Amino acid sequence: MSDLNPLVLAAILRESLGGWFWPLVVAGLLLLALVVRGGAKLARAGRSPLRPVLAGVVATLVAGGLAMPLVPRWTLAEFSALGGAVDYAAAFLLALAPGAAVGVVVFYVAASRCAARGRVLA
Amino acid sequence: MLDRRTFLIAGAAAGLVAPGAARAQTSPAPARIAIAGAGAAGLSLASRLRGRMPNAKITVIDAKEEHYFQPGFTLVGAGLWEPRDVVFPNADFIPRGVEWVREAVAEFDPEGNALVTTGGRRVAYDFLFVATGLKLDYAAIEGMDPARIGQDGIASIYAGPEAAAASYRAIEDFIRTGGVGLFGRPPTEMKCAGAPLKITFITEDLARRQGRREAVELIYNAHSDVVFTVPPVNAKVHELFAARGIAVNQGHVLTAIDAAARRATYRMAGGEVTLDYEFIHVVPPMRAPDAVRASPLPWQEGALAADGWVEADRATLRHPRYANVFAVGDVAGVPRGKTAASVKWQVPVVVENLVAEAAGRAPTAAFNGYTSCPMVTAFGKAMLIEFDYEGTLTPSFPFIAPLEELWISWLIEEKGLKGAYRAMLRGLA
Ligand SMILES: Cc1cc2nc3c(=O)[nH]c(=O)nc-3n(C[C@H](O)[C@H](O)[C@H](O)COP(=O)(O)OP(=O)(O)OC[C@H]3O[C@@H](n4cnc5c(N)ncnc54)[C@H](O)[C@@H]3O)c2cc1C
Repeated sequence: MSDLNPLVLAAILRESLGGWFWPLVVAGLLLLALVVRGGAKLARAGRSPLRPVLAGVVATLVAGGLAMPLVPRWTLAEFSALGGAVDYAAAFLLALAPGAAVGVVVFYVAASRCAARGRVLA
Repeated sequence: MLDRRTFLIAGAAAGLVAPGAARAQTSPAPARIAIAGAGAAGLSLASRLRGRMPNAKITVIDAKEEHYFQPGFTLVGAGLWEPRDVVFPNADFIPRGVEWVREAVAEFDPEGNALVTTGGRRVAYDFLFVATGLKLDYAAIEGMDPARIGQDGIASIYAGPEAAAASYRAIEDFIRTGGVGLFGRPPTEMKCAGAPLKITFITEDLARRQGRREAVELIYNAHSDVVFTVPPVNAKVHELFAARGIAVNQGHVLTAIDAAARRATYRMAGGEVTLDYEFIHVVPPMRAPDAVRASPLPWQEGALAADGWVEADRATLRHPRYANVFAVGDVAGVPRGKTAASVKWQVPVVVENLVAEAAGRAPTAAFNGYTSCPMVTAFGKAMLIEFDYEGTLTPSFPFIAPLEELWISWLIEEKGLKGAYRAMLRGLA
């Protein structure tokens, strides 16, 4: 498995996800567009991205933490199946995928508000 | 015919395409390539060769319309997957521009550089890849009829997706009724030597989860003095079996079963022994398919001769007597290497070497015997066991301890393997 490069990973992911692959790619691109749009709004309003980014990161971590117990279930196993530290780390990393979706939305809402407030103040 | 091969290669070397250092080289040789078998190895070969030898005439010969993702049989046998989860149409994986002859090979004629199909069609080749997998020889066990899997306490996850599902029902019945459950493996070479152990662990875990562990007695009948031929894995499995109350008998080779009386007969060094059971998981002896065994291709002497495994150099998988013949996958007469994971590493080696040869370069790629199977030890836990010809553990991921029961290894078994396997069939992984 030492040849696991991004192209091979993408091929494996595509085969694993089957019909879900393209909808998930589109969802990922939409989330990316939200990040760019949120960033652009902040830039236009001349506001620092620090607080919206922080809000997004916190939301990602919290949502990821909440989703983590569901990850073993997704593999038809129970939470008690997690044993070594590597299990918890892997489960948390996987849970960060839905967590990041929540985080992006939170970032966008926070960025939009922050930018609007900036315009009002200006 | 070898002259034609030499001519093809020499001619192709002049036109070799190497679009960039990072990209794999291709060969324009208009060679006729025959691939016997459209299983894991055959399809993967067809995909890779199509990409690397665009002018070659590639013919795949296999009568089977459905492709089985066999590593998934274990999860079907565990009651977690359905048979439909492990069956794909073969047609989805035959690359464009590759001819698929929907017949079996009836005869190999390596002297004449041709093979004959069951329909009487003669397919001439410049290069032959033998990828027929192996034959499950249930008939070698007296009284064993694969049609009985799922009845009379008989299970066997090897026989196919439906048999694996029927095996799960047999396991459930056994746990409900209680009694003695027998497990084991054949004395021959076999595909995925971990699978008989996995189904033992799964049965034990299922009984425990259903509060019926006390009602069942589990016995693993090893054919030799080890349960697994890689020493550290053998020691670990022994340790886990002992902790879970699974008894191990050594030197027991299953020779007969009396399904009605539920009795199994084993050959031992000192004679025969008969054991009563409520449940038995049968793993049949495995041999090369009949057409291969009847041909001049198998080893003529040595340990791999009796069961007809194709003679092959263990590093290049090339036939020592027929230089234009390669054996890939389960049928290859090499030690170890009878897993889909091995196919993943064998195919690039033979393709790379063929393309290199076509370029006039010395073929240097070598297969190291890589064999792997995530050894399921309980629902949600597995050990990611990987090793080479020497039996040295070769972990792919430094953060996954091979002899530790981990969920991450289960994650690979349950979520990772099928996608990686399908990508391999398409020549992408
Ligand atoms: C229960 C079980 C669990 C397993 N678990 C794992 C695992 O966890 N990990 C892993 O890596 N591997 C596992 N394997 C092993 C893996 O599935 C095989 O090693 C792999 O499929 C071998 O590929 P192959 O192409 O050599 O053979 P196959 O995939 O079996 O294909 C052989 C093909 O050849 C065809 N054929 C046969 N005779 C002829 C003929 N005369 N002419 C033309 N075609 C012919 C057949 O129809 C078939 O399509 C498991 C297997 C089983 C049964």
